Amino acid sequence: MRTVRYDDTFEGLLCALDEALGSGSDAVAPSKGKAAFLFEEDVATDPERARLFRERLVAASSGEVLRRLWLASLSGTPFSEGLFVAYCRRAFTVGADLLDDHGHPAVRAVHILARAVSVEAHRLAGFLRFSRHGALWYAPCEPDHGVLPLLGRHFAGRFPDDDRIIHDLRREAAALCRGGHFRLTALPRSEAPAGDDDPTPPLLWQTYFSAATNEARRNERLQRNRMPRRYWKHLVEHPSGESGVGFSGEGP
Amino acid sequence: MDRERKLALLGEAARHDASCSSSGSSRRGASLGGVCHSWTSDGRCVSLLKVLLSNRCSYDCAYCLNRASSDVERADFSPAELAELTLAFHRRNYIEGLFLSSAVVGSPDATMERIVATLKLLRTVHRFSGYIHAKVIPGAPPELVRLVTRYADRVSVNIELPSAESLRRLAPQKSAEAILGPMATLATALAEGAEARKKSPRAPLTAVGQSTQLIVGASPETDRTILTLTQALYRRFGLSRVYYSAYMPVGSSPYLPAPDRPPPLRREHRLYQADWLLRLYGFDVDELLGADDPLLDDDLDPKARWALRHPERFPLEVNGADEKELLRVPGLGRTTARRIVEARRTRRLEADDLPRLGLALKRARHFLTCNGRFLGEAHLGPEGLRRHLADGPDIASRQLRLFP
Repeated sequence: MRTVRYDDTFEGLLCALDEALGSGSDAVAPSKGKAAFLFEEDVATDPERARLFRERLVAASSGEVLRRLWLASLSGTPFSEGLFVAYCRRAFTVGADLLDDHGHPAVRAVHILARAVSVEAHRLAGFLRFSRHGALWYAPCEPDHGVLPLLGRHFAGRFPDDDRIIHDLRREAAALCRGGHFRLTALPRSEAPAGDDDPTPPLLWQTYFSAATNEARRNERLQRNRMPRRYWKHLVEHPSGESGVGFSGEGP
Repeated sequence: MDRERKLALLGEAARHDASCSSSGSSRRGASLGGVCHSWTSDGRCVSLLKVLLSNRCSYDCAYCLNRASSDVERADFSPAELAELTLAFHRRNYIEGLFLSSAVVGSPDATMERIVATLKLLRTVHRFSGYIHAKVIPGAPPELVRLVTRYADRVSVNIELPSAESLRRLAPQKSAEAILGPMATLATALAEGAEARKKSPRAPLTAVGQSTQLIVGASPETDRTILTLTQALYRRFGLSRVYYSAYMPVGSSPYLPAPDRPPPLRREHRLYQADWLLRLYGFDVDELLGADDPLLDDDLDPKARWALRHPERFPLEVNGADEKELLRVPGLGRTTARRIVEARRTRRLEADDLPRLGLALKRARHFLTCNGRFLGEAHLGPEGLRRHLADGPDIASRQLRLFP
């Protein structure tokens, strides 16, 4: 069987899915480097082809199906393309009922991925901490999934009068928010600024956070369940109650 | 006094207020709804800057740390100071917004005026679009109560003590009328606001809900009394939430439990569970607790307790029972009940499908059949089933660890 390779964008993925579904193949992979095997073939990313496929998928199922596919693709989980092929094939068979088809393995798997992505975006919408650098607000993060588009939209809408940068240090990419809109760009780790032009609010926040903790009701398991330790590194407060600086964020 | 000290005092003084909800705003930028920004090591979500404007209280409620006769350090924020702090935290994404309460400083009118002044400053001068929850002070005049609904997203009047008798004993300066009066004013104002928005999308924004808080374990009311009050509040005043706060001993009074008694956290937890059943699962308080049997079980959640007393209602067929019935099965929640009903539309469910629907059958299987086959264990018997459903030692030990 032939593997259809694409350029790692969502549009590219849509073209590859179109190709795979048309040819009866269910092997799709992002292209890293040149096609190495006889049975690999690159599909060109064609915005028009992507648009047509998108419209066919929505017409056959629903906009929500497309949205879940997009969210799941943001997870960047290796080898998940096979699931996407099966997901779309099923969508063209059962139509709008796909969203309720929890018994189908690929449907369920894609919905789980989509949910993991949206859960992480929702969490980070709370956990991001911005610091002030002149007229610019900057927040770093190291998410499991490629959630920048979701965060960009959230913060561009919330603070339309500000210039804000959300920096994904792991992927060395950033969402630039301005005037209610955002765009994505590459941004190396080394460009991350440090500190805050006004150091008082972070200190006051630490004070408030300690005051809000009720020692008589200590329940760290619940705390870690809601706010896993991997997210603690970029917080301003010290969730463990330790007031030391530079907590590494790696739990035992 | 410096800002840091003030914030520590007035933040700590406000932390006993249980409400944490920041969902349901009609303002711009609140689209994600219910965003939590952090969790403290007591496992509670931090989404709002929860502070008192002042803890200089003129009232002397026995259960309260800030009562007039208590020997605590006193502090006040000015409206300008607090507005500035809220903005600095909000722009750094530490918080969704502000949760503002206050001790009764002088009179309810004067206190309410200061709270309104702070909110007005935030909304009109600073054009703050974050979330605001404001406390309405018992006994505040209707004009001010109405004004609060113009600036806040949510409002609440705390009942604190679940009966008029307990209020007389422990909070002599408050009365049931002083609490229920503002609640009724709020209910009317919120309904008018919702009606206006229905007619025109450009109608002015107003608060979208009111809640309240009850202290559990400071006074002798039974769970049945508390939940009957809760149900009346949901039905009569359309409250969106009732919060419960386990009493933390702060003072001694002949009417209060001994100061060394641990806070009744398990009871608080059970009340929340019962509250969900009343609000979202179609239960009535009379089904959960009878007059001769007014307390929830310590080791059994309220739904399991009800199910064990109604063996005639079970087992239910997964492929047949309607959503309302499924909601009454211990171990099935709103999401899982809905998933079953949805999945049934495309295919008849087999036992193997159930785990793939994300159903944890550990508890639910004892109440279900699938295509006529019982999913539980026939030989268990009522006592065995009860043991199966009772909360295991891990929750109990977690609670014990709190009091070394």
